[in-house]
Amino acid sequence: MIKTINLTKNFGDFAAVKNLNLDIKKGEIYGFLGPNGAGKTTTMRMLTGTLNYTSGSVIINDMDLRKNELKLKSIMGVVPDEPKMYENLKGFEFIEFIMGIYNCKKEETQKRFEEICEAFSIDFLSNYIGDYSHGMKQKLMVSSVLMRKPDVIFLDEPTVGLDARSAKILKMLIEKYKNEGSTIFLTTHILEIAEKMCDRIGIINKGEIIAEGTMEDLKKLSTTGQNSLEDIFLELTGEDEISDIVDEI
Amino acid sequence: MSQLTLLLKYSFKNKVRPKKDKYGQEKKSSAMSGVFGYLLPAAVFGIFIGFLFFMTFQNLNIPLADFGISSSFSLMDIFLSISLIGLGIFFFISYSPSIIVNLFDSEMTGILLTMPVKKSTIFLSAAVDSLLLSGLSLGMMIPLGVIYPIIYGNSLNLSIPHMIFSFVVMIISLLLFIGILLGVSLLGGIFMSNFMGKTAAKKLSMLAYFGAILLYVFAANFITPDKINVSNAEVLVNNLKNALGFVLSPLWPHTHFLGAMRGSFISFLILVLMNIVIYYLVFLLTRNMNMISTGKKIKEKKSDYKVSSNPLLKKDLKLLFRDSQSLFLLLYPLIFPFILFFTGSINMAFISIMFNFIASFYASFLSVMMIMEERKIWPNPKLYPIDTKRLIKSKIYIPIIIFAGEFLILDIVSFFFSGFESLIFGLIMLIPVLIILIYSSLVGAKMFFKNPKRDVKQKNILSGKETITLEGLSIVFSLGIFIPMSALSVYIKSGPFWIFEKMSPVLNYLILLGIPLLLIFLLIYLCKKESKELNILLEKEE
Ligand SMILES: Nc1ncnc2c1ncn2[C@@H]1O[C@H](COP(=O)(O)OP(=O)(O)O)[C@@H](O)[C@H]1O
Ligand SMILES: [Mg+2]
Repeated sequence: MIKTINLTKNFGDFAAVKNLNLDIKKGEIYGFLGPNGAGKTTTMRMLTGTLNYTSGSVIINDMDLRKNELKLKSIMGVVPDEPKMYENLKGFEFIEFIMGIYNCKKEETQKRFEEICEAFSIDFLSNYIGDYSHGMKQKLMVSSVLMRKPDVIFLDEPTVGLDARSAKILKMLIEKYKNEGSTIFLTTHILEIAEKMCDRIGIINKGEIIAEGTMEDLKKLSTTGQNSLEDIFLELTGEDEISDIVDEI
Repeated sequence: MSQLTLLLKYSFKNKVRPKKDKYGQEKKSSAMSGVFGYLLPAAVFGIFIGFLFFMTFQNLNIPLADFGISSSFSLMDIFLSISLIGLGIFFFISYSPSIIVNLFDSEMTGILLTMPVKKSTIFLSAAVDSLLLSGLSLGMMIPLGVIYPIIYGNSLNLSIPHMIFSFVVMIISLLLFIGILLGVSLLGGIFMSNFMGKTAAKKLSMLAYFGAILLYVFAANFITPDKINVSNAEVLVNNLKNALGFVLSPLWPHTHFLGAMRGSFISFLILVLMNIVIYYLVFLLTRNMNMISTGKKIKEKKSDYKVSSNPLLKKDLKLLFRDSQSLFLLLYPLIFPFILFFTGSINMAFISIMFNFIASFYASFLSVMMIMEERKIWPNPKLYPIDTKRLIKSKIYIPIIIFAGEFLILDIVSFFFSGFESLIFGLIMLIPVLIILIYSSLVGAKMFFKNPKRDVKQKNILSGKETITLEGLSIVFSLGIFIPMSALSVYIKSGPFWIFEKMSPVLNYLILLGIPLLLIFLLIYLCKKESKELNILLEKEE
């Protein structure tokens, strides 16, 4: 469903993403794991058509992204890394706007949205978005995406700013959408999310995939026989000497 | 105090942060030119109002004693008081909420509160910061203050040194008077911050702009001398007595301002005392002020969602009309002509020039502001299944269509004041008006995308140089097209005049019709060019 071929992004001299080759099947939850600045958001932006790539190609639903941008954008749902929305709109006006712009079927979408609101206990729709906290914005952003029931869902660190209850609900919703046939690409730096939710995990560091596979595959990669994803992750990203660093301080 | 200067210095530095040019070199841009560019139309307006007031008040400097009322004030004082009350109230209702908006909107407030900085200092720095944009009505008081001693002094036949002295007194009392207005607004801001959230404060300042516009039109209508009914002397005297009791009551600060300018030492002292009391109160009250937004939550369920067939337009219009600054820019070009209508100087040619100069500059400004709304949440709008070029270009056309509509309204109103001829003239003018609007909006948008990484928090999005370029272009094209066109209309109506008497009719038409036509064709060509360049810039944008 999501495929990239030698996808590369340079910011000037700096290569943020290098020769990325992904192949994500339909109905899969793919976790993109990496430390801060690894290139997760950059990859996400290229996949969703908000950032031009330097070279390579992106193929979604067997269509080239560059050639079918608008068509693909209408089947994608994206929760970006920052829930930025028009501050001078009220919550429900933003929802109306999204319904309009994606040409949603009204009754169906509204019903789904109301259910999601119920789950997230969203009760602030008549207030201006400018007065929301980060968590409130994130909830609204997530609901505005999920209510459309997109075929491909991208989530960039979706649990940041959510309370434990809402984060749990989000995880359950993602499972539900997967079971109903959506393909899900999610980035995170939280290992627990990757470990528990994702069918496959790709570990990215400094713009390159350094390991990929199911949880089982990754465990086999560990040279020191580590079992938790945390240790594997730290070993692979070369940060296993952190205890030495901490001691120095 | 030193903390306050430090805060202001850094908030100012933040505004003039050097921008990078396209080669990545740091460019210095002066804050003053930005401020200047923004205030230029206001200054044009202020000077115009000054003249208007001068012409009006000159004939009104009639002592009330002449009407048999025992008072040292004159008719002028009554009318001046009405203007000062109006301007003062407007300043209060626009400035107080804007302090709150500034205070609650700023990320710095939260950080500063955790630092050992006095609350009154934080509050004052937010207040000074927001003064610039609310300063319009204060600026208009300056011409009033200047004109008063001129007219009053003239009537007393003062000698030159006396005149200079009275000017110095005027300046000091004007400062004291403005000090009172500022102080009262600060108190208002402190009071409102107790129950008003950021958005409510924004809405209130928006309403204030509406009020101001109505007020200007109303006041301009009211102060026209021929509106004063002199035929019925008894009614007039009675009205004046009532007016005097209200508008020049000693409870108003402006009564003492006028008094001080007329040489009353007691009034001057009262002004000084009022300042001291008010600022002491500001200091006391800010010490335990709540500086975090306390907007209340509305819990109301929405049962039916309305999905528009043009969601983008609906959203753009909502944002445009909800932002007090853009709303003001939208209505501003109408204020001028309406004042002209009511004061009786109805000349569609002059109105066209003034409207065009202001509207074309503001159209580009509004387009940039609307583009900025998308930039604030960038790159999220690129997720929409809409062509990004279309998304941006719609921002260019919306202000143009609104202003063209406003021009049509003016044209229709001018029909009622000065008949059919004016209507036709306006309709013909609509074509160049539209083209100039399109051109300046395109130029504005192009300027924006030449250097798209701008500070989204800042009010003056365009730099001073860019603003002045835009204003220059709109002035040159407005004058270049409308002066020959109106001369042509005079020529057609009443035959050759001025240098045209000496030239052949063919040459006359060639000049009067040729220059505007040439400029219009030039503009059409330039529009195409700008549009192409904008497309190229938008392709590159990510
Ligand atoms: N617009 C940009 N210009 C220059 N460098 C960028 C830009 N966006 C991201 N980068 C750099 O690319 C790298 C990857 O960033 P990002 O994809 O945001 O990381 P993360 O994995 O934390 O989401 C970082 O080093 C960041 O500094
Ligand atoms: Mg990121």
